[in-house]
Parts: sequence; structure tokens; C-alpha cells
Amino acid sequence: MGLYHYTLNIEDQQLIELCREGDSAAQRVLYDRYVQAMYNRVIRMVADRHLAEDILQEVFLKVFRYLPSFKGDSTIGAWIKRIAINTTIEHLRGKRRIDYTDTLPENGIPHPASVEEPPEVSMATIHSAIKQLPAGSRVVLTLYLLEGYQHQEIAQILDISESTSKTQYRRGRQLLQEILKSMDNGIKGR
Amino acid sequence: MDQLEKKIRENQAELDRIESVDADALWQKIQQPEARIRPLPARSGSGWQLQVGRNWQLTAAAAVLLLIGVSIWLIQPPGQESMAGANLSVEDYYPEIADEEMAFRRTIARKEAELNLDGLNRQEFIDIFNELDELEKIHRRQMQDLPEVFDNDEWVSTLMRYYEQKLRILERLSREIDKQKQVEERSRARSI
Repeated sequence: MGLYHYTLNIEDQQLIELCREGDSAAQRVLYDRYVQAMYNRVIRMVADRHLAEDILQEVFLKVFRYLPSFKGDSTIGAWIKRIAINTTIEHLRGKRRIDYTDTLPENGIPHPASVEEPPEVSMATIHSAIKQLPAGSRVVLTLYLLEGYQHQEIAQILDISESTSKTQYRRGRQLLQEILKSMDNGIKGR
Repeated sequence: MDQLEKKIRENQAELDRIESVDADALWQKIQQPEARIRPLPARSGSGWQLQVGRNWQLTAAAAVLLLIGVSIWLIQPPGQESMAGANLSVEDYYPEIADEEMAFRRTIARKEAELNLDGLNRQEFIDIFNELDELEKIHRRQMQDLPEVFDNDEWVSTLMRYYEQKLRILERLSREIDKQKQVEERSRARSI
């Protein structure tokens, strides 16, 4: 049984200590514990496999570099998640111009009550549908619905107005329903 | 919250396991020497340990590089700051204080907008503005030092003190503006 397998069962806290000492087996275990979840979070925001991998590489380099400054105020998972989200946002802000103004008029967005119930779809289908959203509403929807940011914070992070964030969210939610419906019809039509 | 939002939120953990990445290939990339960054030393204790004699060629090469670096820094025209680390922010070094820092920045931005700093006559509140300028100067210097001192707890508390001080100065400015308004109103009332 190698060092990696021995390290597999140890708690996060002990793992962090070993990583801080530069133990590469421990670093690999920490990486393996979080890489898939972080990849899914990143790819939902950027919808591009190669870009998501590049961002993820940067994320884990930061994680190992800044691990000595991790105070343990949150769980290591939450800390890594924050680095992943921040790095993705930084990337979206710096290298890609995302149009957040391609909004539908307010009256063009149905009120939640008037939206049909979603078809019974799997989480894999929802994941795929989120990736099909236009970049602006995809980023806002992900931050609000999945990462728990408020519109005020999203506005600040993405340098847009709060109302644009809300409109993009409503638009994303509506498009998501439509995409899911068409995917569901496609499946049933086969 | 509609049914779809509810479903997504309740099954988020499942959503994070849908796609798989080639973890081995990515790990290889992370391990490549050009990408690999050694962990930083822990915050406590001294970060400096020069072991001359152990490998004198490396030490000599490092010394030459250091001299070149210092020379470039010395001949750099004033005001032209190094771009090294320009894209790095506090949250890159201390992700765990990012929220606290963001809250401070938000409060300060709100206060500045409320006071309409750019619209104020600086001469009327010259002492307060000088104090603000001085504080900003010190803060800029601290930010430039960030890449070198990121393992320093003291630096984080200095940064937080900066935000607190700035807020206190802005509060004082706000009180001074109010006082001035009251004086003006009283003199206007007297002239009627």
C-alpha cells in the first residue's frame, strides 16, 4: 500500500498540515477530493472544457501556494470553492467580454407564477441545459442559484447594475425552462 | 422560488458530480516544473534562511540575479511602478478575508457616493482631505509590498486598520459637512 493510499483516509485537517509541509501524496489526495466538484462548478460557468481545465489548473496551483495562509475559518472545501469561483470570475472579467445587456424587456419575461412546471428531467440534463444558456445569464444564474450570491454582490463582482443582474437571472431561468422542455420533447420524440 | 429552482438547489451535490475531468492529466500539468509553485512558508517564524556554502554556485547565481533586480528597480523612473503582481489582489493571498474586505469596500464606496467626494470643495475641508491622501499613499505602498509579505499576519490587520481608518475619516468629513450646512442655514435664517 503506497503513501497515497495511506493518505486517502485521513481527515481534511491532517491533510492540510501535510500539504503545507509540501507532501506531494497529500496534495494529490486533497486534489482528488475536490477536483471533480470544482470542475463541474467551473465548467457550468464557462461552458468550455479546455477553458475549464485551464482555470482548474490555476485554481489548484493557487490552493497549494496559498494553503499556508488558510486559517481554517471555513472548511477547506468552501475555501477551495471560493478560489475556484474567484478565479473563474477573474477570467471571465479579464479575457472575455460578456454582454450582460442582451436583456429581454421586463414585460417579455413571464412572471414565475405563469411559468409552466418543469418537465421531469435528470440533474445531468439540467447541467447540460445550464451550459447552453447565453454567457451573461449563465454566469448570473450560476452565481445566484448555485453559489448563493445575492444580486447586489453579483452586480459588484461583474460590474453590472443590480437590476441587470436580476433581469439576467429571470431571463436565464426562463431560457432554462425552455431548453429543458425542448430537450424533454426531443427525448420523448425518439 | 419555483419548482425548478428548488430542485436545482436541493440536488446541487449531484450536479457537482455530473461531468468528470481527466484528473490524472490535469495533475500532470500542475506538476510540471514551469507550473509548479512550492508552498509558501507558514506565517510564523522567519522566512529568511540563506544557506551559503551548501551550493555556492546556486547562491552566487541567485546573488547576481538579485543584484540585477535591485538595479532595475533603482533605475526605474519615479511613478512607474512594477507590474509584477499587478493582477494580484488581497483575495488571491488571503481568500478567507475576501468577504470581510468586500464588505469594507462596499461600505466605503457607499459612503463616498453619499458624500459626493469629487463634488466637494477640497479647500473647505483641506485637513481631512490631506489626511485621506496620506492614508491612501500608505495604503498604495502596502499594496505594492503585498507580493513580498503575503505570509505576514500583521499585514492583514494593517489592511483592515486602513479600512477602519478610512471609514472614520469619511464619517468625520460627513459630520463637518453637516456642521457647515447648519451654519449656512442659520446665517441664511438670520438674513431673512
